[in-house]
Amino acid sequence: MLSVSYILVALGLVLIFGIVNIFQFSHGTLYMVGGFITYVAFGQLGLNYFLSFVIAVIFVGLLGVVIELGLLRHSKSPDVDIVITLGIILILQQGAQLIFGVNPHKVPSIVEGSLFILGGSISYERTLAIGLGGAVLLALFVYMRRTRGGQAMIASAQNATGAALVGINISRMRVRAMFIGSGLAGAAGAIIAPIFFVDPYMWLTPLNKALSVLAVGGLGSVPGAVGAGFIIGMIDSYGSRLVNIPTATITNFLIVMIILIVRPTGLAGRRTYVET
Amino acid sequence: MTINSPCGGSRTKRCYYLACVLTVIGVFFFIIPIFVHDEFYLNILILAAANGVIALAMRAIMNMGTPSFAHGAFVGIGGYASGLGAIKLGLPFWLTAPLAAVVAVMIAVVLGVITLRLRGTYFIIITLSFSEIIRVVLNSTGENIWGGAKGLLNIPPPSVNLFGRAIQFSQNNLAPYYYLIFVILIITLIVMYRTDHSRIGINIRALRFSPNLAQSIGVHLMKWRVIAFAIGCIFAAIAGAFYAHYYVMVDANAFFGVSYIIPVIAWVIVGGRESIVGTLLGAAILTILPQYIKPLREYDQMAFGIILVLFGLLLPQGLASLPVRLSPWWASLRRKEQS
Amino acid sequence: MLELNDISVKFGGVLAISNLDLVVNKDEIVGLIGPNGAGKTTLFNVVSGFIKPVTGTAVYKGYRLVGKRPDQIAKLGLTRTFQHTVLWANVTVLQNIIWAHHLKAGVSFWGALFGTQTTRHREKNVVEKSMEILRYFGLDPVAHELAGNLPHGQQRALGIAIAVSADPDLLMLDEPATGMTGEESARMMNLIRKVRDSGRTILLVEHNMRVVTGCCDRIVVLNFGQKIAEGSPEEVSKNPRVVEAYLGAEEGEYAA
Repeated sequence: MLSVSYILVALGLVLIFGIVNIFQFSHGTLYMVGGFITYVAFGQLGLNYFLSFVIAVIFVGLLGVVIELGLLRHSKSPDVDIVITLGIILILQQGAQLIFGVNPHKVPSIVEGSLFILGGSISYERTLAIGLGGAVLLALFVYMRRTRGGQAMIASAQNATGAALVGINISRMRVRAMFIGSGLAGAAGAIIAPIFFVDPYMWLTPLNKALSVLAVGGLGSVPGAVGAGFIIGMIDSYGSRLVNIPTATITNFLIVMIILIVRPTGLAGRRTYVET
Repeated sequence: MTINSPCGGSRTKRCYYLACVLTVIGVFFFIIPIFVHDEFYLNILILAAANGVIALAMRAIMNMGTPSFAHGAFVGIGGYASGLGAIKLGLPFWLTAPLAAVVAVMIAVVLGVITLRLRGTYFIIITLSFSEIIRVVLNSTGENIWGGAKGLLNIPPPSVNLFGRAIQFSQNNLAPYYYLIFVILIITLIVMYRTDHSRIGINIRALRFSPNLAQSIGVHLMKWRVIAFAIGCIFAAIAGAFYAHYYVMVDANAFFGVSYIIPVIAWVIVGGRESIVGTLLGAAILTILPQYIKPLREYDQMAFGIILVLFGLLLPQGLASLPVRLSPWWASLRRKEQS
Repeated sequence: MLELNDISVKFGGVLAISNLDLVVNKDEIVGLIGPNGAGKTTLFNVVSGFIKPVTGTAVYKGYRLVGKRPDQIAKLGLTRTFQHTVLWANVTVLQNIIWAHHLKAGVSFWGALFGTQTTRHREKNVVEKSMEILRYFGLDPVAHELAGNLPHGQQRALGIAIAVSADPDLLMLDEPATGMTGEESARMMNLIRKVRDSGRTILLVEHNMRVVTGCCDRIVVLNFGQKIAEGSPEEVSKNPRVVEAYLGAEEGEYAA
């Protein structure tokens, strides 16, 4: 179940990495912002959940655009990109801390009750979350496959120069990628919010998980991210149930390390030889 | 100024001048505790020095290209190793600190060989993973050995006998701690400076700016990277050992997170990653200023974040690059004055 | 001095080089020519250790090269230059050569730490030797310029100077005369001959036919990863297969 949110976050990151060529470290904090917006809109202001969801996605998407246009656009080297995104983490984390305090907040449930299926039970809440997550994924794939915008993005991800030569505006692609990618993170946060808590430190776990997903699936690969998202989500859920959370986490990271050692670009990522 | 001859040009005269300045600065810092007894100020200086060591160690690693997100883990490892050495083995500080260094070097070499083949982002991911693994292990196991989530407590302060009298290290008497970290810092500075100017420093920089070229004339990529990485990790561990005995405790959440590493990276970037003095200044300024500027203290993380972003965009080579950057402007100003 | 046998290189299913044999004898200047994409730079990458061949052996002065790292191969006395100028652009020209020297006569860590007499001696030596090399290549006037600020021709010369600083017995030059005017390429030719005359063997890849015919003792022609001709410049230029290979790819070619 958590897989859904991991996949969304990881996909956002993959998209951004593919087109903007930056590893957006503050992606996790965008997830947190999505969660908090849901908390405010749905939990505090009492707006309809789906409306809050949309608000969260759009707001976080725009935040991503601001980051790209205001900051990343002016960066002169990949090192600076890292520095900028790391700085944003601190800014957003403490911002949330100051506004909402250090303690977690509970976002009210959307619907009560459970579904009894396949000999087990799963709450309606979670079913809704999975459904919503699935819907977002579906929308994303439709966009990428069927629309010209989506196709243009895939083209720029694979070959920026070629795409520019056929008239694709790379600058606009970057903005679009940041909007969609960040929006995905915001969506993930909004989906998770009613199920767990929101707090200013909630960005770390999804970032770690997204990193794992990308390491396993490969930094440039979309199907890799989806597949890896499932795997890591499974390990997490079953791991925490079979053994305990620390062991699951350790296994998670050990797998990441092993995969990076054995196949330095992840299971399906791009291969470039720079170092022998 | 060529990197090979530190003083260039009229070598003796410039070196002499430099040595004088350094001695004056050194003496100044040396006599501070004689006049200043307020623990508050001494504490700030001690922290600044310790962070300086950590920053210099990070700089040594960043000389290869990317920051290591395992750096904090090595500070922690040093702290635990030294603390355990003192508690379980009853060793004095001047033995536990090298013990911490040895433990760190062993782990660093293994980790380095595994991870240093990876480029930029992947290196960050794998070092972060390593750090998280160690953090979780230290946090959730080993209650009897290293205290689990509670951390390692009651680490004895260093005990030193000078001229037959035992010197008291305690929170009420910080001067001995001050001198201790002072000595450590000076050693760090010397080692870093000499490393930079030796074959190690040159090879590492050559590999960083053009790895293919360096390899094509015989520089062994992995060997030198592992060496640079090990040097950085050793000093991180030594600083960790100091912290363990200063705070009398060490726990798995203090140094192991992303939130810890980001300010360390900031120290190096703000100060100037190419320059040793710059890095030290960056760490010192960013440790000392927040103590005095209240908004900086309350919004400390945001401030760091903003500083990182600003420096990244405007002054990526750090404060140390200001003189070089400003000199053409300064020169034209003087020309205007003269005409 | 260098002997390649049955070298084949695959890039994801495509044979970039197939069953290539090549011999370079001591003190020769051998030219490797062929249309773009014929596999010349790939061959350099194989010999210098940056790529592994699928099959074949490469023997240099009795040592097997396949499976060795580039730095190991360099230490055996085989260095190369790169097709795109690769330098340490943000340090001075002199610095570039000094760095290149530290391979052979570097200051060890402990030496640097304690600033011993031998250390300082060695440092002075290195600076002097580096200036000598710069004089040899005609680069001493710009010794204190940043390498990245040099004009193209001088950058190429610097690239060769770096490769020569490592004191190789076999030097592989990848398109040393690209982008050069007639006058510059004439100077490059002289330089190449000068380097050979100082006791080194040279294998070079080049498109500029004047340079090739001007300084090579022997030419090997590649097309589609295979050797199609070999011999003296006169023989090769008359070989019909060679003519066909170039004419067949004329759109992209420039015969000097």
